[in-house]
Amino acid sequence: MHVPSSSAATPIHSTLEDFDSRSGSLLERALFNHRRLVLLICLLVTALLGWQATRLELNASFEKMIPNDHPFIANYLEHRQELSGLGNAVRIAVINKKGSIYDAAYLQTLQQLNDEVYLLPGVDRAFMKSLWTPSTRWVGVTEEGLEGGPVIPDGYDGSAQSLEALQRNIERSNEIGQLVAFDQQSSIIYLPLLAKDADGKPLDYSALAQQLESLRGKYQQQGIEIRITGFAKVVGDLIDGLRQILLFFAAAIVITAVVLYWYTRCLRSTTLVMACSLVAVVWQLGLLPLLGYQLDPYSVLVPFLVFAIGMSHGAQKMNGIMQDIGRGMHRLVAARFTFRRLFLAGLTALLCDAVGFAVLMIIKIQVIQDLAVIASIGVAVLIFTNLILLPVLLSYVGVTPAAAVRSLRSEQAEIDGAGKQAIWRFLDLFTQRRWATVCVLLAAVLAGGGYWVSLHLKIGDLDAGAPELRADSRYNLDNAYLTQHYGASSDIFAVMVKTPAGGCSSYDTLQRVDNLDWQLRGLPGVDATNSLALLNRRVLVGLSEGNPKWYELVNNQATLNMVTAGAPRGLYNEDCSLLTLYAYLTDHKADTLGRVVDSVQAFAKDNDSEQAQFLLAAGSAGIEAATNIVVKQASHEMLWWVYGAVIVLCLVTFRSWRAVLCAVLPLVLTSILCEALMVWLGIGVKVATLPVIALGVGIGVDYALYVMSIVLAQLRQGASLSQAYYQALLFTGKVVMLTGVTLAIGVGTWIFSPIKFQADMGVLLAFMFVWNMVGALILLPALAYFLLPQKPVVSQAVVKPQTLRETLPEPATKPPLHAAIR
Amino acid sequence: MNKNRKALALLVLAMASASAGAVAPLDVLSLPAVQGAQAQHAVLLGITRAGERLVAVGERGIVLLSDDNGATWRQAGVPVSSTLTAVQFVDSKQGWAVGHAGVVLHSGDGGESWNLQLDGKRAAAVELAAAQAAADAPRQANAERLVADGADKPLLALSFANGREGLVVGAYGLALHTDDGGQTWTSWMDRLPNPRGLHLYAVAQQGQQLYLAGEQGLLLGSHDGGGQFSALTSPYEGSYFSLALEPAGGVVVGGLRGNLFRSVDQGVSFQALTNPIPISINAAVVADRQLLLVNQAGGLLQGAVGSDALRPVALPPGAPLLAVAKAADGALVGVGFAGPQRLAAGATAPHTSIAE
Repeated sequence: MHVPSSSAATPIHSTLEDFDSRSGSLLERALFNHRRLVLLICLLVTALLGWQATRLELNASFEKMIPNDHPFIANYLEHRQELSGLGNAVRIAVINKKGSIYDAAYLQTLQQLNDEVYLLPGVDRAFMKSLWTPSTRWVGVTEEGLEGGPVIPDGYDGSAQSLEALQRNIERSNEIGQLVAFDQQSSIIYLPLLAKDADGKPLDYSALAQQLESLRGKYQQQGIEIRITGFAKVVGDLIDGLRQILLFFAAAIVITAVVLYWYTRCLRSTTLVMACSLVAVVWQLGLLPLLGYQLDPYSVLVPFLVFAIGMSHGAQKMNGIMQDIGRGMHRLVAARFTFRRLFLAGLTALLCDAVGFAVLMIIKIQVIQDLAVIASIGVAVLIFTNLILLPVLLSYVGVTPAAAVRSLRSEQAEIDGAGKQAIWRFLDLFTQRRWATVCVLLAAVLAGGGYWVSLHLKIGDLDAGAPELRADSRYNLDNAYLTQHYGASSDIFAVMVKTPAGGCSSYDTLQRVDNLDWQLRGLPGVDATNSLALLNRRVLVGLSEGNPKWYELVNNQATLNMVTAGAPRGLYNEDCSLLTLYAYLTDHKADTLGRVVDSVQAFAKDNDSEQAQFLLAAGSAGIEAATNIVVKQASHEMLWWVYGAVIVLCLVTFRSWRAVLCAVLPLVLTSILCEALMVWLGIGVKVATLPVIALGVGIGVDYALYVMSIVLAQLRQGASLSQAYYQALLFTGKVVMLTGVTLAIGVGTWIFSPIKFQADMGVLLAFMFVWNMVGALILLPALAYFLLPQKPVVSQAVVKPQTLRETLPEPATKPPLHAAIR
Repeated sequence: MNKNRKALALLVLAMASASAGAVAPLDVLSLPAVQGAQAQHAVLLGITRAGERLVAVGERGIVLLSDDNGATWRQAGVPVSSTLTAVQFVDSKQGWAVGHAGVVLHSGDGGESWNLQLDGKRAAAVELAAAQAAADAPRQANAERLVADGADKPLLALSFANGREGLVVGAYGLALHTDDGGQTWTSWMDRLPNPRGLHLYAVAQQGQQLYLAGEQGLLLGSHDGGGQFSALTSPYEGSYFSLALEPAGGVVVGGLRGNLFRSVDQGVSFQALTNPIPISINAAVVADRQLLLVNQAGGLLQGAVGSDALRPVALPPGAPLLAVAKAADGALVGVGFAGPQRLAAGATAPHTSIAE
């Protein structure tokens, strides 16, 4: 980190002629003695990667968002071919605005729409279902026996008679609440999707969602209303939301530019820092398609972070060069000195950020791992653009002279004895007994209260519908409509029951499935269930002339076999070795999912045999349950790793456990408060919020490192805590604030994202960045007052600022003042 | 075969059964009904009054009791978990329920607790013993098949004249009678002129008049309390599912596709009733001089006793009905595919268009 280099190492050569261009490290010479070449290479790389960046795709694959290693998912993936697309389907509700569905015009429109969606790429046509598909059948009883057929009667011609026949067929088809709404004003086209299209390419959700949208636009004009739900639609809407993210990116650029300009008052260098940070983003985006990555709704946020980190590091670089130039140095010399001083420090800081990202790799969910990789790429790119390209460019462009002079003003004022600025005076209070005590006590109370609140933190999604999107988004309104008008909810928990081949219809197995079915229905949050056992009960009623007294799973193997043979797809597989039991849940809250999982696992323990094994879990809710389990475990594990890494980094840097405590405790407080904030805002721990704490802590420790390294060095020189802290503030305090503000702005713009989890992440990250900054500036000195040993100070007068400065090791961001003083 | 080999074979068998049978086989006759909140939404097939109390029975051995005229329900303990199809109480304490697997359950405490009096296996054994005693070869062969099938046949209806005498009937012509409150059972299968073993769906009794209705237009009657049955001339070839006796002696049978007939001459002749809805009639009951019929779509029909006009009753939204009863406060309480439901008390009030 900012371990100061030796003060003697930097001789002052204010003019270019005095400067020995052979001085400095090998790297420095390699870069600065071939500046044109460096620029040319950077230009070429930027052009190449900029061109590559145009090939970047936006996608969000279903498989990437689920924890593929979890046993539930392994079971699901093993049997997914036999579950006929259960994991991934789109439901299109077609509503007749003019009345019931028994309307010739409506049915004609439905048929056209049906035929169009049938042709959409990626649709698993064999299992597609609507009123117009031949698989939608009815069964009825007559004096002669059973009869049945497709619900659309043979010879349907739209006449009143055939509409009446249709209505009768639908009433006998068991589809009310499934394909036909309870109010019979809408019907559903059910579209199971294939993971790969006919050419073996992964399904393009964005394209599919667009096609669905254009179909919606086309058919809504024909007197019907269309509502669409399903994962593919969520992803499509997310990708649409991503396009809006560009707008926020532009906003973030403008705001940080303003902040930076306010800080430096130098248009030239502000533009330069911005340009370099943007180049970093271009490089990063260009590298992704080269390395085979796509941007998903999660990783799209990384460019914001990279840009913001680039801005703060660029600002540091610029600050150094500016002050050197202000002291009269040539811009090339200033650039080289700054490079010399800050390259290693910047590298350490970036590596430190990378730790925060790298820790995310332990979470076995691919979107998060991708996020970690993409963020690491971004940070690596920053090393080139902001630590190398920026000083090289600055050596050409230089800074506005007025700004260079201004950058030294406060320092000069202080040396002139004009006194400390109010803000520094205020922060200095926390190194004194009274304020430090109050501050530490307050922090302890906050930590205790925050911890108590954070005990209510929930795992998983807490809102109905797709929590990725806002509650009033079109998708969630559509979803609410479907939940309200159709019996089956979109939160499906599927239990797979594995039996020997041909054994799926045995009485004992079905009886157990039936028992589990009933057990699940007793759980709060389980709305309805479906299974072959339940079908047996229903079909037996049908076979018995519709008499409900036959509603029983009869212990008669011949009957069971007969019913099974005629059962629809989805309840068992081709060779009768896998049954599926579906539980339709009222919501996908973690409590609901946990209850179902516990119930099924307890049942499986008592009932598993060679004849039937009860396997968890498929269906949207089953997958979410597995995700919750992984997320819950990872959220603890991740905290251990990220804090472990941070503590090790701090130990290596500070070589004092007391100092480590001073640096890490404020971070811990922020983490606790962040969880409390999540409870308060109703945000659960989920795939989207999991990275927040790692990112927050990984980047937040920067501040502590900036401040603490100076304080420690000063204390070791014999300064009092107050003096040491004041020096740290002067050297790095401004930069810490600048970093906190630019980062918070970079992520804060997400709050306006139409994608809810991005807004959530924005709020939480902005909170963490700002609060970590406050912690580093207020709580850290207060803790230091109690924890760090202070040598008795002989007299205030002995350690005057000037003498102090001369004994100081080279500070991170400021050159020695010799030139200026002279 | 030497001893060792035998022992080994036994061991292997034991191991095989131990590994495969880590779980015991399931038997609805010995598994008590699961107690749980889901019972409130169970498929319920029958409902009746036991004094002031309402008793409803249904799938998985579920018995629900309501002491507040259907507003709230609690589940009673039942020793079996097969579907119960019908229930009857002769007074506020004594009642019986019948169901699948040939179960007959008895309660002596108004439905609070139930004990198993008969099951399909014992019923088959009773019939086989009777067939053997009668030395009737075809009947004996049939009875042996019953025994071999095990308890897979349901009892579908019951009629107890008092606390001692009762008849239970079911699928494939199953019919058993008790005259000691269910302690012992006699097979009546030989008394019924039902040579094809058709399902018996309904039974009703008034004094010495006893009627049975079943599959494929089967109508049987007895004028001596069951001593002798004769086949009645059926006006219809389709199945009958329900029977109701009117106070004045009218016999109403309802069946497939909404066919409804009344006989006012003890089954000699039947006249069709006008039913506006051609959907099978699953349940029929007479309450307060009103004939109440539930059809297979879950709709309720109502007509005055003796009248041949029926009108559909508007029902509050809810799951389809399967049976109704009148609560002590006069309200109609229905049961159906999603549990019990107290219907609007006004359903039978004069201001609705139903009462004539």
